[in-house]
Amino acid sequence: MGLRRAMLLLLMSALLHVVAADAASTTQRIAVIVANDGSWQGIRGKLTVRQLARVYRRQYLLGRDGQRLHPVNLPPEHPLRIAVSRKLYGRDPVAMARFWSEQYFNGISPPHVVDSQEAMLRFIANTPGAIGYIVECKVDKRVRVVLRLKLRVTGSADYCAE
Amino acid sequence: MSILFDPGWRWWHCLLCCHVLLVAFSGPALAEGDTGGYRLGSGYALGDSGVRLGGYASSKYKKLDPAPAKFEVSDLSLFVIWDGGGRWQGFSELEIGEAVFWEKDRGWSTDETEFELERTYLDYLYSPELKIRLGKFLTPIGHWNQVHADPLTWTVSRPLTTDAGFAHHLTGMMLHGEWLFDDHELEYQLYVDDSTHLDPKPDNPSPAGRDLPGVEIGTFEHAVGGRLLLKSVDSDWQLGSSLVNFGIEGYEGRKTLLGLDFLWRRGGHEWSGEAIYRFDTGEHEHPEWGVFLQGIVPLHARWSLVLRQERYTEVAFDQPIDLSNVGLAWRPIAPLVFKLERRWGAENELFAPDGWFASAAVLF
Repeated sequence: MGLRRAMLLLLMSALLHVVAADAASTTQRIAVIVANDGSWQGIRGKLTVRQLARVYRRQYLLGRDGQRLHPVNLPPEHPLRIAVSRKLYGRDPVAMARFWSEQYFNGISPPHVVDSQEAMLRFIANTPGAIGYIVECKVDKRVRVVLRLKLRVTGSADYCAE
Repeated sequence: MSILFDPGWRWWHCLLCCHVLLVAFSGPALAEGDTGGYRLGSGYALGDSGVRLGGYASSKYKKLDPAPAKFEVSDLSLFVIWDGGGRWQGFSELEIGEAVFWEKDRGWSTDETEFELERTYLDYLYSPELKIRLGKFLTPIGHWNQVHADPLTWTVSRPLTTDAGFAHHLTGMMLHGEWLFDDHELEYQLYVDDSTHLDPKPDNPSPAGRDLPGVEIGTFEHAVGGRLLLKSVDSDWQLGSSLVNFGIEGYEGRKTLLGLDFLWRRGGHEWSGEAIYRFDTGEHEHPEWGVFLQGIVPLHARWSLVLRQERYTEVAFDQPIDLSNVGLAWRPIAPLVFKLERRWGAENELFAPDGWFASAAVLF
């Protein structure tokens, strides 16, 4: 009887964990953005999640017509960055540290990091070849959306008001 | 200082001058907000110049039978990475080896200090499938040699399979690139080497190798080779094959080396292995081969258990060398690693004697 009760408690505890984790995350529409001034020349082929991952891993350094690509990230602890990292690489930003250490040893630096979504907007708008991401509700006329993602993001913050 | 006036160094001077000029006349790499400043493990970005300075350092303790205990600041490598935002990229690594050491019977000394221009090359990016590299670079045989820096490896000692059978550096030209498929990526590297003419300060074999010429190689003489690497999109696994044909100064004929390697990583676990097979048409008719398997098991709080088993055959010995390594590695943060290791084996007294190792290494 004691064992059954313990099993039941464990099961309920696990269920509560799942429910709590789910409640602490929201689905967000993420827009992958480039400058809206006509400077973005695009990559060769269609921009897909997989191609975007290669841009962020610095495998695709050049876009169409030889334009240099500049992927931009939010800080590693930012929930949007974590969600995008999971989508692109299948792991959290911290789990990519070893990959980037090996890349650094061979002269390749990780993507540029900006502090906030507003900084992302300013950077993208002013840097030819730059590509980044923000929540879709933050998109304005300075940037153009080239890909849309629907991702689970941890936390319940209002990213549109950030 | 006299080395700076050595005629052989003029080639390097030209390359370095080109490098500096390219840096000086390159425009800003990014329009605003570049990561100026310093980050551990990523170096120091000089504003928007596209230049990044960094490197790595390691200190080691060794107690190898029957030698006395030795502590050394074994590597101090300085990187200059240049990325001007166009089709050209540059990379230089200057290494100060054995900068300072302490030995039980000799005390502190700087007698074994060595300055090495480990790598200096320029890359021209034509497309992801075609990049052209000119200069001195790491020999693309196996995985280990291309990421051999102490902060990136799991053991203080290096497997003989990745060390003794081929030159660690090439000087010449390499075509490299990658084809990207839906689920896999295929990387290639094709190179021609003329280190004997282009590298003014070629690598020397270790003291043990010098005593047995032809056993351990310092520098290739006219090498031609390539490497193919198939890997998963998420880099969880990779499978590589290498082939190189080369000569060695003072030996007739040429040698051919075939290599195979694999790497698998997931959730802190890592399994890797490399194998080489080397044969020649010169006076050393016996083929050489080596193989190792290494496993990393995550323990607790960023500690990992390291296990490695290796067998290596040398042309000069009848019996193969067997080596076993057990160690611990602690990575509190990604660029920093502390290691402790015990190695033992059979027929290994000359090249890889039994002993204890410890090290601290950091990418900065």
